[in-house]
Amino acid sequence: MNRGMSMIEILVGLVIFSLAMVPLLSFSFTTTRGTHSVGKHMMAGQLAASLMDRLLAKPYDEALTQAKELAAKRWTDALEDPLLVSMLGHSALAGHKSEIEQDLRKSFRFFQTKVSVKEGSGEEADRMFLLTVEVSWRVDDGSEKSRQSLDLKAIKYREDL
Amino acid sequence: MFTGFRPQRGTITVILLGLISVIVVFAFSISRRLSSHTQLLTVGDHTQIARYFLESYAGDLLRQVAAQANTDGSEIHTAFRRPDAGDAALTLPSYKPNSLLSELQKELGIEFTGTPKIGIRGVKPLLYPEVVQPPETLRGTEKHGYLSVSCSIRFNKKPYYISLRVPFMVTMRMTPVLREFVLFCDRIHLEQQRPYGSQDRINITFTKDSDHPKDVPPAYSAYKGQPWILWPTPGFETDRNRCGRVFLGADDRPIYLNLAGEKNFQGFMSDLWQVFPEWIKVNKAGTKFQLQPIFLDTTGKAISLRGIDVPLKFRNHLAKIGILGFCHEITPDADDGLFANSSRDLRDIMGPDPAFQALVNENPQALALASSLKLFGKNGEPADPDNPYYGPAREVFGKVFGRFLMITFFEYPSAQGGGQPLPYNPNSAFVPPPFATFNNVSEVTFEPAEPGQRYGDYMSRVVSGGLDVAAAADSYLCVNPESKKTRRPFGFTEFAPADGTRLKGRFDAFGPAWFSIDPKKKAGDPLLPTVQSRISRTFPNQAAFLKYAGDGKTTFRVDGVVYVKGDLTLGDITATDVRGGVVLVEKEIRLGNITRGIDFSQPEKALIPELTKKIAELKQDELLTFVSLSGRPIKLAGDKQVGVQLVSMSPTVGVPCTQITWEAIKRPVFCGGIAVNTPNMAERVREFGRAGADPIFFYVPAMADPKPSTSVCIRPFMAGYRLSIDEVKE
Repeated sequence: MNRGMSMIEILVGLVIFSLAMVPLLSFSFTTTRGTHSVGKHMMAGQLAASLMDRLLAKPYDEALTQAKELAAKRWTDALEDPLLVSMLGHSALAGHKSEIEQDLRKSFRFFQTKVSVKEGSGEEADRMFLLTVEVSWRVDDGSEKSRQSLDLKAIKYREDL
Repeated sequence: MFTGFRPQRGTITVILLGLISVIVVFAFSISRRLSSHTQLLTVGDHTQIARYFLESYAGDLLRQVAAQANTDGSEIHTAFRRPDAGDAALTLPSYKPNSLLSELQKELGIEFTGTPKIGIRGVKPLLYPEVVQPPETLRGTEKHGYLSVSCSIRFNKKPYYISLRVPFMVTMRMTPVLREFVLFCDRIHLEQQRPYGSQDRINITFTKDSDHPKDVPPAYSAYKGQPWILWPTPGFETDRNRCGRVFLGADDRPIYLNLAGEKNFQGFMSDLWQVFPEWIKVNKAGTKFQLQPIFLDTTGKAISLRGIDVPLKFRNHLAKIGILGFCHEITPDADDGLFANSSRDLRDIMGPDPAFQALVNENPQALALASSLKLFGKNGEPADPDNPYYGPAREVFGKVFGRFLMITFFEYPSAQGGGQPLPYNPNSAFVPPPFATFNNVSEVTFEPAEPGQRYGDYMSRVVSGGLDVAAAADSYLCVNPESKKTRRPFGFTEFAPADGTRLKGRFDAFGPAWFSIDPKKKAGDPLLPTVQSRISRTFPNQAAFLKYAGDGKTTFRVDGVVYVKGDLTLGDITATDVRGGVVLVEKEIRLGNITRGIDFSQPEKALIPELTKKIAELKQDELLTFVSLSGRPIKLAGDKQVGVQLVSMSPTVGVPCTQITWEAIKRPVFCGGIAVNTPNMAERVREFGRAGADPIFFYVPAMADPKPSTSVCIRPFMAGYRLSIDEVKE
């Protein structure tokens, strides 16, 4: 009888184990949040770079016009991106449109983009402009206060130099 | 009890220690993981920021290189135009980033490290079609290659480096071969299917400013227009290269231009100076024509013509040779004509000359109609008849002959009526029967001055008649000044412009070979031996082109060979800041005035000196070429164009058609060159006639520069890209 563990011993063991698990679970939770946050940050970076590259790839005048249009809208929902919308409308995706939309909504629900333009002046007028693409997102989906943002800047030059 | 528990006392401690160790290790690994996540994010964000900054930096370098590449005098301008094809390093002396880049640099705390490296690499010459043979010195003038740009920065204590390769091409600003010509018509023979009657649509203008005769038969009222007058450029008349050449083709088809002539030695519109006395084979002594009596009219008054006396075998026997140009005064019904008071008319003198018969039988007004193309101006002969005049040095290529009438009288002592005509005879060895002297006292015989000379060398005839071309080609008068000595027209083998380019085939092969566009190939494909490989920019429409070139009021810059899809309509270009190039247009072209700062409203007396000064000063890199690739008409809404070459050619043209037309015409002033298949002279004569004054056409001497002007185009796309987050040593 004496060789076995009493109820008290088991309870003490459980308490110790529970005490040990609290920080472990807390660490685990922090890690998961961190990974989630890193993922979102990387998505934001990719989103900003994609929008930036898309604008930079266009001919100067077209890029400037489109950038100004986007700049006038201020913050825009990432899911309202005209390219994304037009891609979803493509006939090749017709069969999977709802799945893709659902997936995108899940990933980019709280992502917003903002474009701003600063044109060259003096001799540089109509030859170049500074393009800023800013992306903001919620780190915590449920909290607007958890918003973070990043921005990228590049100069677009008139091709005919 | 205690004894029983004692040996197990350490178990809890061990478990606790173990658990704590696990927690510590776990916490440490999580902490490391989180920190590496943060690091990863930082590196990712910084790389993106650095990448865009470096691309902006490299873009600025390219922009500054491009700006200097076409600015005369800069090191970069020279480097792109080196004749050898080797690699070369470029330096941007005192590079200063643009203001946006500087601002960005400060904002991001970026430091420029090292000097940016820019180099020309992989240079290869552009190809030419077989028909064009550029000299060795020009091979490599037009080339393609790539520009290598590398630069580095330091951002957040980390070095970043970018290297780009951007293709470029160097092309001529004007079209080779064609730029040598003030007028190039490679199918004008379609306007002269036969050199007589209704099929001759070149010899269609009346003389004396097209104002003579006053009363024109209704069928000819449309002919009362103005000829197309190509003036020799003042100051360059004796320079065969800078005078502007002319080609009238096809290469193997003869073109006959009626030389205008008038009653007086110095006609208002006379081309007879083109007939050199030396050209008359039997003339051994005279170097100039004189206004001299050739025959007598019914009242005994001597009728004087431009001519020369050739002594014959016997003493006081002369062949009095007079030359006549086409004008109203030689027609049979002219009241004020040369033969108005004569018992003879031209029919009697010319005899059975088939060319003369064809002329007068097919078209009653033929003798009054001169060429609508005045290749050497209206009448360039100086007023001083004592000096032989050989005209400007303008080279005329193609089988182009000057047509005029030669009348010969045999004068001897006591000749009846002052002399006996020597009419045409198909047998050039013909021996005329003896001629009676006054009152039939005795007879004299016509004996050429020297053995070997024949009757045919003296007789009256239509020179360059067009019906005996096989038999008498060397007695035809070539319009090209040099050919008058050799008696051979100038063909492509004689084409020798100052830049050293030669032709390996016919002139009419050039247009189809050079302006060929293969829709399956890309514009700027360097493997094509056509203009297509020279295209540096393609514009989807004219709006895009105008945005690029400028409004024409302050600047107009083409720089290279560009292609505009669809039509092109340009308003007036009044700017003096013009950078030239070739504008290829898919469809129609409509141009306004291109004035280069000249005030065309001033009186002609002041305008012409200013205009000729301007065209002498114009440089080849300021000259504009507009090419209608479809061969459709280039419409000139303005009638003042200075420093312009217009080209409208199509390999499918098989009938005369309008390829250039003046719409709102006052007095056309055109300085440059025109190249078409057919000018459609009948339409042009009427068009110029509506202007009420003769058109002014000048060649721009800079078009014939021995060293052609070139333009550098840095392409708007990349051929290579490398980004490193490290120090990179090349």
